[in-house]
Amino acid sequence: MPDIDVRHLSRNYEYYRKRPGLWGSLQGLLHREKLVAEAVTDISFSIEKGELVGFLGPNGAGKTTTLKVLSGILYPTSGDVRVLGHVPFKRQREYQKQFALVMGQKNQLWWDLPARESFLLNKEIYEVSDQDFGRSLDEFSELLGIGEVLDIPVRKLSLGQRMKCELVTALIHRPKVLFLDEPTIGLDVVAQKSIRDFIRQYNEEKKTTVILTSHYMEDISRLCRRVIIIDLGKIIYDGPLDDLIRQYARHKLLTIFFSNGSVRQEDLGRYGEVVSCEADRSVLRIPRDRVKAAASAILSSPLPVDDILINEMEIDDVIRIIFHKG
Amino acid sequence: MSIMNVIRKYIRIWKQLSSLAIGSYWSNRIDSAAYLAGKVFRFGFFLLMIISLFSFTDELAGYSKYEVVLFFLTFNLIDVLSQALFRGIYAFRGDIQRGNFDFVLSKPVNPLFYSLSRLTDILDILFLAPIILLIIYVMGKLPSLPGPTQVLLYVALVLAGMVIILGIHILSASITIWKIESENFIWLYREAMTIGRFPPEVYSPTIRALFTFIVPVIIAVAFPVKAVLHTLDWRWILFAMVYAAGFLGFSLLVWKASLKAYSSASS
Repeated sequence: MPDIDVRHLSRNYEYYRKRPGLWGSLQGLLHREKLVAEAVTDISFSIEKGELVGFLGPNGAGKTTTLKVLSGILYPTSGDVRVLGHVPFKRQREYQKQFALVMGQKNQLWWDLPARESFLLNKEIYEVSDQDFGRSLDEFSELLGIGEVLDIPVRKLSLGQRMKCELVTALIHRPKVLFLDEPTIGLDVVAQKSIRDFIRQYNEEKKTTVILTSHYMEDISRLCRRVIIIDLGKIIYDGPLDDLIRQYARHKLLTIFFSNGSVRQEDLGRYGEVVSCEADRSVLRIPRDRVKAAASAILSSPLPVDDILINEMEIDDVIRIIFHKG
Repeated sequence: MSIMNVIRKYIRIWKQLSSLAIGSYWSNRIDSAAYLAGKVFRFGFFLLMIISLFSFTDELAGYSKYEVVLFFLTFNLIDVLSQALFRGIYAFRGDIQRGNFDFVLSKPVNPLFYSLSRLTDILDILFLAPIILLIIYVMGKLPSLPGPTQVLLYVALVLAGMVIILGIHILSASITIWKIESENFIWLYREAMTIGRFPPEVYSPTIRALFTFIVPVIIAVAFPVKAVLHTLDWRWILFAMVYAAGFLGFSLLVWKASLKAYSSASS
C-alpha cells in the first residue's frame, strides 16, 4: 500500500468579490457576489514509502492546497485521500503523530524565545520521551550545525538558522511522512545547500516519504527523481525528472568555446538557433535529434573551435515551456 | 489512550504553553509592567468609585455597600479567570490571518484548547489571590453570613459562569475562522461583561432579559452573588446549570462546523 494515495481530489474555495471604493463597500453590505475558485481539480497520484517527490507548479497552481489537504488542514471538496492508511481530514491523533509539515513562508517557533522552548512544546504535544527527544535534538543539531543557536531568541536568528530550527521542530517526533512547502525560500545559496543535504540524508537514512514543493529548480534537480507538475489545479506531468526533460526539452544546448574572437553570429546560424554570441563563446539551441550531426559539422568546419559542450536545457526553461503549453 | 493519560498530557502541554507565554512576557518587561499597572489602576479606581458612591447613599437597587462590592468582585473574579485561561483568543485572529493556525490543526492536540490557552496571562493569575481574599473578606461583612450551602452554590455558579464565558470565547473563535475580519465579537463580549459590575436590578427589565437570555452575562456574573444573598430561586439555579451546558454544547457544534469551513491563508 502506498504511503500517500490521492484519487480524484478536488478542492474549491468560495470567496466574495469586493468592489473597490467606499460605494463598493456599502454595496457589499447589501449584496455580495460569491465566486468559486477551483484550486485543485480531479488530481490523482500515489507515493510509495521512502520516495522523495518534487511538486512543481507556478504560484496558485494548487501545490500548497494539495499539501494542506494531505495534512488534514483542509477538507477536500471531493475525492479520496489517504496517507499512511488514514483519512487526513479526520485529524486522528494516530495520523497526526506520523507526519510533519514545514512551510517556508510561515513559522511555528515562538518569536521571543529560544527555539529549544518550542522544541519542548512539540515534545509534549507529540508525547516524545525525554530520551528520544534528547537523541533527536543532538542528532539534528549536529547535522544542521545549529547547536549554538538553540538558546538564542528566534527573532535574533538569521533566516537560514530559523529555517533549520523549523525543520528540527517538525522532525522532533520522527515522522514517517514529511510535507515541505518551499523550505528554502529566501535563503542564501549556502543555507539552501545545507538544508537540501539534510533533507537528502534524512530521507535516505530514515526512509521518510517526502513531498517537496519549491520554486528553486536546484532543490528539485538535486533531491527528486520524480516530479509531479501541477498547473491551474490539474496534474500535467507525473514521472521521472529525467523523462520530463527528454519529453519536453526538444532541444539541447551546444556551448562552443573559440580560440579567437573572429566568429560572427552569421557564421553559426546554419548550425542552429543562436542563443548567445560572445567573442570567445557562443551558445546554440539545436533539436535533440540533430545535435550530434551539428557538433560534428562545427568541429569539421573552419571555425576556430577550442572546446564544445553539449548540455540539456535548464530545468527552469523546461518548466517554462510546460507552463506555456499548459 | 485512557482519560487520565489524556488529562496528564494536556496538563503538561498547558504547563509548557504557560511557560512559553510567561517567558514572552518577561522578555517584554516594560510592556508587562505597564499592563499590570493598568490592571491595578482600573481595579482600584472602580472599587474606590463604589465606596465613594456609598458615601451618598445607603443602598443601590436594594443592595448594601458590601453586597454591591461583592457583585463587583465576582465580576472581577470571572473576568480575571477568563483572561488568565482563555487569553489566546486575542491572538487568534492574527494566527488565522498569518496561516499559523494551519500548524495547530496539523498537530495531535485539540486546536480549541491550544488556541485559547496558548497565552496564559500570569499577570491575571497573580491578581486572583487578592480578589479571592477580598471576596472572603466581603462575604464576612454581609448582613447575613453565608453558610456552606451558599458558598458551594457560589462556587458552582461561578463554574457555570466560566462555562458560559468559555462558550462565548468558542463562538468568537468560530466566527473568526468563518469571517476573518470579525475580531470585534470578542470586544463586544468584553463590553457586555461590564454589565456585570453592578447588580442586575440597576438595569431595566428589558436590559436584564437581554443580558440573561441572549448574552448570558448576568447568569455568569450576577447569579453566584444572588445565590449567596438568598435572592436566587432554586429554579433559576437549575436554569443556570442547564443553560451553561446547553450554551457550551451549541458553541462546540458551531466550532466543529467552522473547522470544516476553514480555508486557510494563502502562501
